[in-house]
Amino acid sequence: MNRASPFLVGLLFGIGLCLAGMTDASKVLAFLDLAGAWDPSLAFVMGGAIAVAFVAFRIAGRRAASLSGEPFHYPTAKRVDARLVGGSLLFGVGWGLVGLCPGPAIADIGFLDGRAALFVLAMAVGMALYSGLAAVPSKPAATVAIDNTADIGRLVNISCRATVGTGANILIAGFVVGGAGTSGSESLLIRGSGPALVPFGVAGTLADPQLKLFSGPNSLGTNDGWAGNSQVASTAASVGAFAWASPTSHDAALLQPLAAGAYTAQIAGESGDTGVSLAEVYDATPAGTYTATTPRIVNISARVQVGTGANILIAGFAIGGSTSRTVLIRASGPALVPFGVGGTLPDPELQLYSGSTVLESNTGWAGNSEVSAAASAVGAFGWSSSTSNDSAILVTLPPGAYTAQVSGASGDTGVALVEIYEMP
Amino acid sequence: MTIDWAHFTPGSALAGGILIGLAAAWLILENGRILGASGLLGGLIPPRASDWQWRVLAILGLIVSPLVARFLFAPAAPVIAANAATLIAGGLLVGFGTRLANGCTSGHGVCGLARFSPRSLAATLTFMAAGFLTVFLVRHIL
Repeated sequence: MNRASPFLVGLLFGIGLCLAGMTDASKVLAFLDLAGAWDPSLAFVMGGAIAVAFVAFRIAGRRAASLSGEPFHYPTAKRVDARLVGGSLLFGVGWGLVGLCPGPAIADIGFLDGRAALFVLAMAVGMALYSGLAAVPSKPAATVAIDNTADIGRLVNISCRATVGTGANILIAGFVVGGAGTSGSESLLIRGSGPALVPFGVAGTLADPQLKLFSGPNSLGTNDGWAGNSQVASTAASVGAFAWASPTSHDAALLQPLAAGAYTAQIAGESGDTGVSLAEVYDATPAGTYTATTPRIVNISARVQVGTGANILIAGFAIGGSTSRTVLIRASGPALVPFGVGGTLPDPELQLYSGSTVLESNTGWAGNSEVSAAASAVGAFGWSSSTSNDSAILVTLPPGAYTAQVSGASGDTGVALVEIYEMP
Repeated sequence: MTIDWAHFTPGSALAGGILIGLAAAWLILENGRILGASGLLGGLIPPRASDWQWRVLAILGLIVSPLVARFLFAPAAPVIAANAATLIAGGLLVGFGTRLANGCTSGHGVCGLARFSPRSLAATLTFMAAGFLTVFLVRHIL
């Protein structure tokens, strides 16, 4: 994001407030005093502002993304609920008591007004009180505050298509189940598709995928063919996974409740064969039963041999729930060398897609401090060199399906790791 | 109802409103964000790694705006008559209420109405009514 423009936006906003007279609390109160000597000026402020903003939002509505490439962050809430009306009521009373709303109050600090500073301080405390209450998930007293956050945005699916080799080049997808304040286990559907990809026109599919689930070195399950399992089929349908047509196909699946922890799903040819396979992990928590204490997928990753053209690394992921979620997406190539990984992709280029629209892209993280802070916050392994070609995107996304694509920036190939982390 | 013609300033009010609208236009078109003062500050409490920088910059711009405004015109000095207890009570209500409702005069009153959001219309009608009623009670009843 252009560093200067948010500052200039704040400056323009403030100059507008000063010119309009909104910074003068006595003028605002004169507007709110219908029964006294009424000053209707502020109605003109709103009228002018709305007219200009209306045009801007019409233009924005016709664009896929903002000029900086950042997606449009529109509010996702739709319902007129008790929170909205109750909060507005409290705000209106405070506004009427003092004559200051948040924007003018902050601007008035620039007049070196001590009363405005005290008001803003109290306002910040009020906001902190709200944040504190909203962060407590199960206290009945706070139900009003958490009404909309019970179905928080979260990672509900990852998929990764790759050419499965042998030995170190099998397809390995990692994922972490957990989340602060969660307990119990989460139901997950894990699939390894090979023959099922043929009807989609995929050539050279892995004929006989074998799916293995590990927790560290411990094997939790193996499947060589789903044998038309009805639970697998119904779960796949309920999470929106594409259907497997043949009950006798060699596609493999595991349906497993998993407690908080780190897991890997590995796909290899059962008889040492190679070919294209798709690994998928789905959150199979039944619809409507998700609560703030249900464990969720907090991280997903895939290590893959990246080729060119149709063989670049394509990792799909989906954000479910009803609120936006900030995620950290990383594509590591050079950063894997210290771990003894050979043949790494020297310059991974990371692109984030929604459908066919590029939302963000990055070639070289350039030591970005937000990225390194986010990585350490979620416990991702550190990138030691700020000038390395490893790439990262930190972005807030509304619920929906996305793909992260990793390719060699100059058309080269090699092993890369793509990771997607939920930011707390 | 008596209109206070002496203090009625439709010209500067309209011009100021247009500048506010331009600020909102700039932020949505360049950065994809909705301009809302309570959201700007509230998003920093607590700060999130991904998006604190632009918020701090916008708030800094807002704070220095009266200093810059002095070079352009003579901004009216803020006359804040409320005593300390009222300031604290009012600030707490405004801070808590705007976070609960997800917006204030700028987010709901300007941007939300400009987007024809039913939520913002409900919020704006509610806080305007509460503001009118509070001033009526304080000035004419109590």
